[in-house]
Amino acid sequence: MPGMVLHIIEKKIISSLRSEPRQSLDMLAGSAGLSLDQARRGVEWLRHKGLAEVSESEEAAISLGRNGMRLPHMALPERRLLDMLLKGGPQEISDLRDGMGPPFGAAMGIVKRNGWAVTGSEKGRTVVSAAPPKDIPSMLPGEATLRALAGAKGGPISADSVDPSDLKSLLRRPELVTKTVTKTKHVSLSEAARSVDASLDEGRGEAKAGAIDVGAGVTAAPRGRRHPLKEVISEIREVFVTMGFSEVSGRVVQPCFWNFDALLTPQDHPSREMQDTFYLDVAPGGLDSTPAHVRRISKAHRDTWHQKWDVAEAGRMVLRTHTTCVTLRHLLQSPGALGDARIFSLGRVFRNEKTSYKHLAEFTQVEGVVHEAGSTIRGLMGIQAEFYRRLGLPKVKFWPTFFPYTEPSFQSMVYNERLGKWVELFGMGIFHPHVTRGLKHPVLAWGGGVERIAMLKYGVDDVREFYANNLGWLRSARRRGDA
Amino acid sequence: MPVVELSYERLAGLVSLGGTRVSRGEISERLPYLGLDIESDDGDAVRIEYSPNRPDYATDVGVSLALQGLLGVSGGLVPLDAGPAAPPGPDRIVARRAVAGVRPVITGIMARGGALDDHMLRQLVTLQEDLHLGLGRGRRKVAIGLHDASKISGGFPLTYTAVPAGHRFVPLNETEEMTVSQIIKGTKAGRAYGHLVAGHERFPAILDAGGNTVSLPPIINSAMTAVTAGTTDIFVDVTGMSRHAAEDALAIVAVTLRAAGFSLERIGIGGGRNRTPPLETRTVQVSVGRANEMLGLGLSVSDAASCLERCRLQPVPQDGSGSGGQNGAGDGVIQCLVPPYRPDIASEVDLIEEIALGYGPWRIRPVLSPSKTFGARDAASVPHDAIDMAMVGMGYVEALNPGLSNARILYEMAGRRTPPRSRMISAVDSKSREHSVLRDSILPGLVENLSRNIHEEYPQRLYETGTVFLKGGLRAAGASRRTADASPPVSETTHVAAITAHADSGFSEAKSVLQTALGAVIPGASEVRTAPAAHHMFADGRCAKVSIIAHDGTGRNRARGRRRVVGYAGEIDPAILSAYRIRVPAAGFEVSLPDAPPAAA
Repeated sequence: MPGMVLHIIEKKIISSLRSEPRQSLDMLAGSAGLSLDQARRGVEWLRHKGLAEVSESEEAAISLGRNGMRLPHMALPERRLLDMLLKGGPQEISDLRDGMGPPFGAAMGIVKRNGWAVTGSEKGRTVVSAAPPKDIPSMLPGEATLRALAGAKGGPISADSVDPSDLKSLLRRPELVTKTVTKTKHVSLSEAARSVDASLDEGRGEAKAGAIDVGAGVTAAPRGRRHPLKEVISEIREVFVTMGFSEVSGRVVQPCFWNFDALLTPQDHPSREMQDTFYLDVAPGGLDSTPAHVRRISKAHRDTWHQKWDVAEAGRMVLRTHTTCVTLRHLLQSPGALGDARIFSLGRVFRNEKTSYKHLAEFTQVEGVVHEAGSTIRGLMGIQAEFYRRLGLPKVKFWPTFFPYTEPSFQSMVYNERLGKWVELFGMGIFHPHVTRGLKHPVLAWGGGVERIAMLKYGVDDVREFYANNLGWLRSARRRGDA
Repeated sequence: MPVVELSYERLAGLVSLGGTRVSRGEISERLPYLGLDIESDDGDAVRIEYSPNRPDYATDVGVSLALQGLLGVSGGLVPLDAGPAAPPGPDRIVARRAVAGVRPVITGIMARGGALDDHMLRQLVTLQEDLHLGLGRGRRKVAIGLHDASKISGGFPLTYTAVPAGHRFVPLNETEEMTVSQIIKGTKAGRAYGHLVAGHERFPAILDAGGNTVSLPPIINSAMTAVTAGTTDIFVDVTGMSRHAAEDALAIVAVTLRAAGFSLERIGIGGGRNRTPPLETRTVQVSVGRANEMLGLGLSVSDAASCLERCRLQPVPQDGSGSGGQNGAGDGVIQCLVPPYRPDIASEVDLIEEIALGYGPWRIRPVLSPSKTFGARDAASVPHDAIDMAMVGMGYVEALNPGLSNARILYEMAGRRTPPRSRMISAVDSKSREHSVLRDSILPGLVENLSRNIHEEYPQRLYETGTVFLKGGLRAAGASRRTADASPPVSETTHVAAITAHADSGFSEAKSVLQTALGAVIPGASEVRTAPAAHHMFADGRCAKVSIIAHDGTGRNRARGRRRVVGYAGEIDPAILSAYRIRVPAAGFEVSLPDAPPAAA
């Protein structure tokens, strides 16, 4: 088989097997000058190439068991009993029992069953006497094996070195002798290996020394990586920045004022209830706004919802339910008159919901807002379409929907090839004039959960995967080609 | 958002008018443009999700009115024809003073000559429940009762008054008389809504002229007036705390009954501050110029008017000069009549949205104009990139854990003493115990993550950068004074934590990784120092506090060598690992990150 590329390990193994045709792995490692691991791998490679054959043989070893080690002078109890009878003549059974202790019962059973001793009655007492010496074998069953074990300090010795029936008689008795079977692999060369050039010289034929089997499989190198969701977040951030948007960040814990009241969510609105919002067990921290803004919001609530507005309610602290509290605050609190501005915010938001394959109690939201002269719904749709196109989602359409603080409101639908259907993505609209009063222009806004986009990109159908920290998934998650 | 199941065949029947037949396809295509999301579409049945601002979409008759407009079958106002605003003669419902302090508002209407089938009855109940939940705020603000008018045995006038707890009648779904107390304690409705009138000695009730109980709002109606399939005359009562909300709810029920084939008859109502419901259209005005500005369209006044008509609204015809440009984009003003069942329309922007819907969102083409601004990312997030690069480079996998965690992960399993409630930041009434306490540390979550991955290949190396929360407005280490609020009750700081788990992991690896990671964001990694310390999460003698030199951008602190402890590093206490059944040793660290990069020297 000229031209076959052999690793130096393989060559060493072949050479060694040519001088000693059948070797165990241990032997082979020694004779070829390899570590056991190298020998094991080399043999696997050769076997894969059809150059080596591996056969397995079993080897049984025996050694003294727990009870075997306790035998006085390595003598079986029946031997001790016979010795007592042969030396001391017939004896009363109770004396024998006292002399031997607990093993007496078993020993007595064995000698009687084999006819090596008999019992008789003498003056109402039971007396045991040995059979004539010619009827007692010089080596009792098992004694040959015991002797061999004693010679090896209790073993282990090969089970093949003793008489099988002799051994069997010992194995029947509890923990006198233990037997362990080990399997040994023997390596030999195949027919095909005869013609292989295993010389270690360089430059002969095409098989160069040191050349390796570059087609062989290898283990995967452990890889560090950013979280797949964070990769999507970075990508979205990049798209925003390239479209002229600046990022703003803000607090996670907000007063109701910024999370709800400033957006004109009525104070008795169901979304404000503890069913939907996480209220925190902390002291109120103030509304964090100007008195003029608070007055304006208070009036807008009374006018719009025909009910009084409670400043204490506005001071309760919540985990923000959206990032609008961040973007809006940035717009309203910008020093001086706000000129043209495109901003976006990315961050965790919270909903007091039971989690499911499509709902999380905590997720990541992104939101963009535009404050420019001449902003229109058509322009907002244009920005949306471009945003999705840059994220690899080219087919988009817009359906009307309802949001409490934008008017008009739409939701964008993108077509997903894998699912074969339109999927609802971000909501969008123009902030209600009450919300942005004081600013020069109407404010376009859109946003939604980043996880939804990540689900499309990674082909994930259960949104909880993103926060499950399942290493198997984190190490292997791949983007789908189409997004 | 509420979901309702409708039948295409019934819808098509309801929408089709005169000679115009509409197909299933036309309906299915247009439903989303009413703001209705199709949840499932299976043969004749279509499940739609509607927005809370349009409870009139809870029934097929409500949806069909809107579809008629959008499909051009019929436009403009849906007439209610309820008779004169204040019908002649004495009031037929009188509210007594006794209810003023409990539940002051009552309104109602009579719907006659209809034919109620099972299907319509079920839909009416859905509409009622939806109104209770949303507009009615769980029946507190508004509760609606539907009654078979022919079964009000004592007849009109009705009295809305308050009765004592011992008042007896047979409530709906029961066969025996019960006292009010028994109803509140012993019936499902009583247990669900009894709290709304608790704390009063007397309970609101509607009695007929013969003293028979018609209803015990907001809890339950009487069995006497139960509405069934076959009922032809329905009396609707609405009680509550707000006249606005009660009249809005009444209008929505009224238009639904009207569309279902009933004719409406107004009832005189008085007593307290109650009045006969006007059920009047109101006028809202919209500037067509403003609509074009907002939508980016070039509609003429008459274009805009027909858009509004397609949404079942009624532009008031302008005489002569007011009609605006017929050819070009209009800048005229439209006075638009809005029916009482559309409380969602309050101002100009609401009408502009209606114009967009009537125009057809599918016809609005996106337009992209170039940005006038330059974009930039938040400078505070930049150092996180450096941390990411360093950690990933060292073979770490990034984890993401929720900020709203729980006491089990944060304290019990992490070997940390559970702090008193005053120190923990708990969410009130969380729906899942898994999300109930804001994390004050990231590392406990990472240890928990290891426990979920014991079957995955080792070594396992995880890191996470994220926000941690501390109570009491303690200024987080490194937080910039400039951006921090006056005294926020919760301080928010960014931490980075990492954990390494494999047979040979140990303190040295943790410290070495920490040093490199901090070196990526803080100039001079050699300034990272570790000194012996004790921490609940780490094994005794295998834990260090980590300190760096605090930079203020001037270099002065560096010269003075003032050190600041930023976190801990060490070998995770084996007791914590074994409680999680993690069989390999683990080591890690957690430090706070400065908010902004230190100013360049």
